[in-house]
Amino acid sequence: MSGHRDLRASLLTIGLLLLLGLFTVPGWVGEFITRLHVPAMSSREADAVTAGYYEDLLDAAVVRGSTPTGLVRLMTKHADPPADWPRLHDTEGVVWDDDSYQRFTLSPGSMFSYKGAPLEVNADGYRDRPFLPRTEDGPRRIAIVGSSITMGSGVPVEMTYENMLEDSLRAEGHDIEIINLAVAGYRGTQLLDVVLESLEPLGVEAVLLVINDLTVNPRAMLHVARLLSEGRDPKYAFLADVADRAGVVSGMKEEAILGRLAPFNDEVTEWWITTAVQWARDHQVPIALLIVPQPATVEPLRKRVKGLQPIFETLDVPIVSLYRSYDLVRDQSSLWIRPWDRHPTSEGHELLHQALLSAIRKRADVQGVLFGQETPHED
Amino acid sequence: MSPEATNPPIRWQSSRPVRFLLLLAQLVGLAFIVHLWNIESTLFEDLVLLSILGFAIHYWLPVAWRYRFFVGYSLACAFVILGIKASCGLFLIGLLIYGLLRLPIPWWLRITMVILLGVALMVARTLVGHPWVADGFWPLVGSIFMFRTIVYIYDVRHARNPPRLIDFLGYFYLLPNYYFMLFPVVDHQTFLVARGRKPLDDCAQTGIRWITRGIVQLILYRVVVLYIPDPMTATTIPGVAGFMVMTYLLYLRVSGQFHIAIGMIHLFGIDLPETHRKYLLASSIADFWRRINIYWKDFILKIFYLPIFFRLRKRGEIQAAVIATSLAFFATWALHAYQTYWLLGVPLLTLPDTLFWAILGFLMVLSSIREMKHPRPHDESWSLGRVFGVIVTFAVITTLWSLWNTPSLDAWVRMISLRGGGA
Amino acid sequence: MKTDDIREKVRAFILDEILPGERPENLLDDMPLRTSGLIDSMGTIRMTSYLESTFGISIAAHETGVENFETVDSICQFVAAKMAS
Repeated sequence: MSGHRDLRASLLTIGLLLLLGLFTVPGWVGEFITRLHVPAMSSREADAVTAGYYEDLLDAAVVRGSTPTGLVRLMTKHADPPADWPRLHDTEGVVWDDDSYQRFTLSPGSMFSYKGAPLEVNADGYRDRPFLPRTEDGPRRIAIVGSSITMGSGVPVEMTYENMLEDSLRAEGHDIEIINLAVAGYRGTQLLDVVLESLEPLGVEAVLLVINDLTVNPRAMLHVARLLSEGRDPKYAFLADVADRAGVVSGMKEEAILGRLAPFNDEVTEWWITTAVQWARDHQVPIALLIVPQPATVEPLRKRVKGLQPIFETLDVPIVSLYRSYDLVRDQSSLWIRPWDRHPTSEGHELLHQALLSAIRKRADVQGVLFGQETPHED
Repeated sequence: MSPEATNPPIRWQSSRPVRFLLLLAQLVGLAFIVHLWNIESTLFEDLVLLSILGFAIHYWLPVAWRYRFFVGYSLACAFVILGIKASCGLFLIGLLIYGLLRLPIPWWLRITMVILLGVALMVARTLVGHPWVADGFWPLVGSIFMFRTIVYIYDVRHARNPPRLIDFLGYFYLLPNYYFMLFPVVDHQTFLVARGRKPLDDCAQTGIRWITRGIVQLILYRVVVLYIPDPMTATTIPGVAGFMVMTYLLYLRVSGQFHIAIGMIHLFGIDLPETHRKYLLASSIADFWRRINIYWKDFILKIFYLPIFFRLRKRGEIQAAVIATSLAFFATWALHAYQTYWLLGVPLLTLPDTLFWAILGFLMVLSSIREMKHPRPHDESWSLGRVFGVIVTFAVITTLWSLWNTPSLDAWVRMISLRGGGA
Repeated sequence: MKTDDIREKVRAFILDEILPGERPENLLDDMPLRTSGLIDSMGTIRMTSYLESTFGISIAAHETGVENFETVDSICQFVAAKMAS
């Protein structure tokens, strides 16, 4: 028979959970409890699914499904993608260059459907509205450099947070143009190359460099691992040195190289961020870092970025984190473009846009980067 | 010491409406908690509300109507939670299985047809993305039928009376299973025996207790998630040990969900046994096996271990136990791959997975031999020996669990040799 | 053999081998033994051996399920039916 202990325990527990749910406890205890209110995914879980949705092998996600924990995670958050669910580099919209560091770029002028939304590549080779012709007194050109969320995988170009931000800022009277240089699947080492090689020819006057899961998770070195497994030159002396120290030798398979490079993740992350910032300083291009999470996997990114805090403190650049963008949405999985693909929907992009706009309005340092002067703005 | 002595039964003195209100108040409190703490998803909230509604109606029905109501209500809720397409598909498959097993033809022919149906469904499983098939349909089919069909066939084979449709429907179409894809392998005989054997008030209170326990475990799981170290950068002994322990504790999510699922069934007067029994306090490998996912252990025991043991016991009990245990773990390994096929679309056969089951199976064989030679009575009392056993068992299981959770043996070796890259 | 004799022997086995030290009045005849974990796989095997040798019956694997081995009452009924058949 059910005992007194069962009844007492239930009543006490229910009462306690209700109280902690309804009322805020002051101090760090309250903060801790507040964080527990939000369902979270561990870094490894997020990586497992990140590996699947960020144009990567689904193997990693599937392999982790062998355990009950893995199965529960994958069954409650993940669905099988259809066999024809595309990865950008498998589409006709990319140009492969076996000799290039980036391995692939978007094909200028191409038009195709990608993850349920039309994707048109402009004449400059980016997924954005056509860039305005450069003139002496033209709008201030701001570049945003990122990966697939910023590129707007699965949403129409007008609904990317970048274009919505551009429209909002222009409506507020700022004479700016935001050009979107994001490419789906690009990792940190590739974003750096975009900064070093593309910003100057495009006459960029300010840059927002995006840090996302793909740039800091354990598979962030996959691009380099692929180059090395194909026997190609990693282009940058620093990367060659890391490969050397990691004991990467010719003939090694990609996953083995990735495993060897993994302990150098943080070092490489520090390198590409500081190199990008240094380039910006050397070229008098104001730069800010933008941290953009996926819906329902905010915590793993927050944890990883927390590990980068010492680096950020030395950089002395504005950093805008959009962790709280999705807070008001209870079931953040509703913001995924598909049950198996966690790129944010148009609604998710709208939330990112609002969060970023709010940050810009409140922060003089960010305004300084974007507008070239500090303009205090009452929100 | 029996549970009765430490947990004296409630002598419900109050009137039935008062008892009902006390139970309902707890359930409403739990529903609020699910909402306030964002437990699971909005679909889970729907499940909770449906369970409470069902409980509230079921409670006041005459005893003779209660089980029928549970069956009908569970079937109806399938349409609400899963939609018409998926529900109809599930019912069709179930009725096919039931119908085939009731055909007036030789038993071997009936089994062959059910197996062929199963194979056809496994082939059809590859139709992911087909417009006729709803998203998530196949994992649902697997979750409901992949193991319980095996148990059902085993019981029907030996049943004294022909199986009733209403028992079939109640056993397979369990309301919480529409949400929880990874679901305890409910035993058919246990399900039949458990119906109405306990007074409804007591049964529902136990259910509430387990739902509460499950929710607490899901919240504790979030604590683990917040603090689990990054395996790629765990290159110190405390870091690796912390990662390994936390990886094991991620299992709280499975345990939590199982508690909630079975707790919900309790609300309808079905006194199913607990799914986990303080597995973190297991004092030996055999004790661990008996405490973690008890339903799986009982499934393997019933379908594989005991039949094999009984067939071989004339050769000697120890030899029979060794062979039966080995084959039981082989079956566990194979059925996990089978389960992964149904739930994820790929049969998972990895080296870490194989090693995990092989090592655990080997340790269980040793344990079986020891228990055969030196039978020990059931003893939950604490002693220094038991404390030592708990610590050692926890360390062993944590280590094995970390192996199970790595994508490759190389990655695991790198991790335990403090070179990072554990997952 | 009378039902009471069967019950006495079954209870004695459980109290001696499965629950040593437990007070007899705490072992209720309708108390779940299998599903509560009091009788595990080894206990089932030992119980089977005991019942077979004590009552001269033969028990198949499928008969050791919850239907027959869950409570003292169900064990006694099972043994009585086996002896009668």
